[in-house]
Formats: sequence, structure tokens, C-alpha cells
Amino acid sequence: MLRALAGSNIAGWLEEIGGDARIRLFARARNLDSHLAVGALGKVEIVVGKVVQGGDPAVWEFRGTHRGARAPHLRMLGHFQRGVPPGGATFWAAHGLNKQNNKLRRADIHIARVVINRWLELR
Amino acid sequence: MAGTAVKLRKLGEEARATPQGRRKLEEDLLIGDVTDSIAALLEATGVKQRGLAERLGVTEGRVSQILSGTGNLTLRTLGAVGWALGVHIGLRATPMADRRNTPAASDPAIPDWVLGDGGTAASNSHYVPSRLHTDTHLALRWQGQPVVSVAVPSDTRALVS
Repeated sequence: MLRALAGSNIAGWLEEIGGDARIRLFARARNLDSHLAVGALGKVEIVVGKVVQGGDPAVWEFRGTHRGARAPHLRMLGHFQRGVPPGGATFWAAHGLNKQNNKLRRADIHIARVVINRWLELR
Repeated sequence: MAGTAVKLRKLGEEARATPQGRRKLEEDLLIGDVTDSIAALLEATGVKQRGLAERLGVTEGRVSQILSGTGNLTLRTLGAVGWALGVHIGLRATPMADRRNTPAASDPAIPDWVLGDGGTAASNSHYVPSRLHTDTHLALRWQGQPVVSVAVPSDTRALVS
């Protein structure tokens, strides 16, 4: 499941990216749910993306567009909570961005980290 | 502080709100499913993109295109990928719970035997020897109407009568 953390920029970012991109992002979220529903946890890294900063919890990158696709690359940084499918595994989106190249800016990771930590403190 | 899923639910509503959006969603879902599955196969088998390219006799760039969902992935190419990795790649149809904004919105429900789920709709669909054809044919009927008729070799008639 894909959820947005309160205090994140996700709502505004979704408005900015346009209808086609929102549909693409929703399709990726559904792909993730499908894989989790059949217990394909081994494929989480393929569908979600990767850990971009270690720690507890790690910051993950959710790929709204596939590797190798043309820019801009839709990405969400956040916390991936593993759990028992179908309802337990959730990607908590903390920061949405459009990457223009393969590099991820430290500033974006930092923003995601702040939102995640604030959420964990208040939870 | 709880996370909010409100905006994300709206994403789904938006995608289903128009025929164009619905069509794009279904296209993107399939592309994602296929490319993710190929990527997972590569990971599971330990075959690198370069290795797959060599097995297929194409460039590594072409494999990258396939995995990114941007290339024109034909069914023949997909079959070749399966061949290269030693797996059968199939297609499974799953009925949509909500068919709004699809041309099939008011079509009758798709019989389970088409979907290959083990025939849970046994009460509605069944194999019967066709009355319309000779006994060397078998008609697959849906709610009394013939749907598919296939020739049956004479030596297998006993199995289906």
C-alpha cells in the first residue's frame, strides 16, 4: 500500500506532475500491491526501488517510472514498512520529486528524513 | 500523526474517471507487471542485462529498453525472453471489479473458465458434447450458448462423453 505522510509535500507534488504522471504513479502503486498480495516480497526492491539512506528507518526511493525511462523520473522518498501481505506492507511517502537525471540530491533525502523522523516521534 | 491516504485514493478515482485515463491505467499496469517480472527473473537467475542481451542476440541497450517499459515489447520478444531464461511466460486475465469507463462496462460477466482459475463457476459453465456438431466435436457452452467448438480426436471421445 502506498500512503503519504502528513507534513510531506506529496499532495502538492501530485497536483504539479499532471494527470498522465498521476496515473502512471497509481499504476506503480498497484503493481506494488499486486506483488505484495501474492507474497512476492523478494520483488519489493524491484518494484519499490532501493534504500538511498541507511539507518533506522532507512529512506527508500519509490520509482514512479522505471529505471531507464526518459526523464523526468517520478520518485518518492519515504519509509518502507515491511509486513505481512496484503495489508501490512506500506510505503509511507515523505517527499515527492521529479529527477532529471540519475542522481538523487542529498537535500531531497534530508527532507524525507526530517518528515519521517517527525512522523515517528509523534506516532 | 497518522499518514494520509486521501490523495492517493483520489489518484485511483482520477484514473478511472475517464475512458482515456482508464485505458492508460490498464496499459501502465501491464507494462509495470511485465517489466517487473522480467527484472525479478533476472535477479532470481543471476543473469545480468548483458547476459540476457547475449542470449537474445540483441544489444544491452535493447534489453534496457525492455526493462524500462519504453521499448516496443512484442509478444514474440516476450516469448524470446522466456526462452532465454528458461521460463514459460503466460498471460492471465483477471476480471475488473469495476468496469466503468471501459467499452466492456455493460458486457456480461466473464466466465471463470476463461480466466483459468480452476472453474469456480462450474454451475454456469460446463463441457457438453455439442448437439450442433458431430460427435467428433466438443462445444464449450456458457449458460446454454455455445461459445467455443473444438474438434476432438475420435480416440478421446470416451473421455468427454
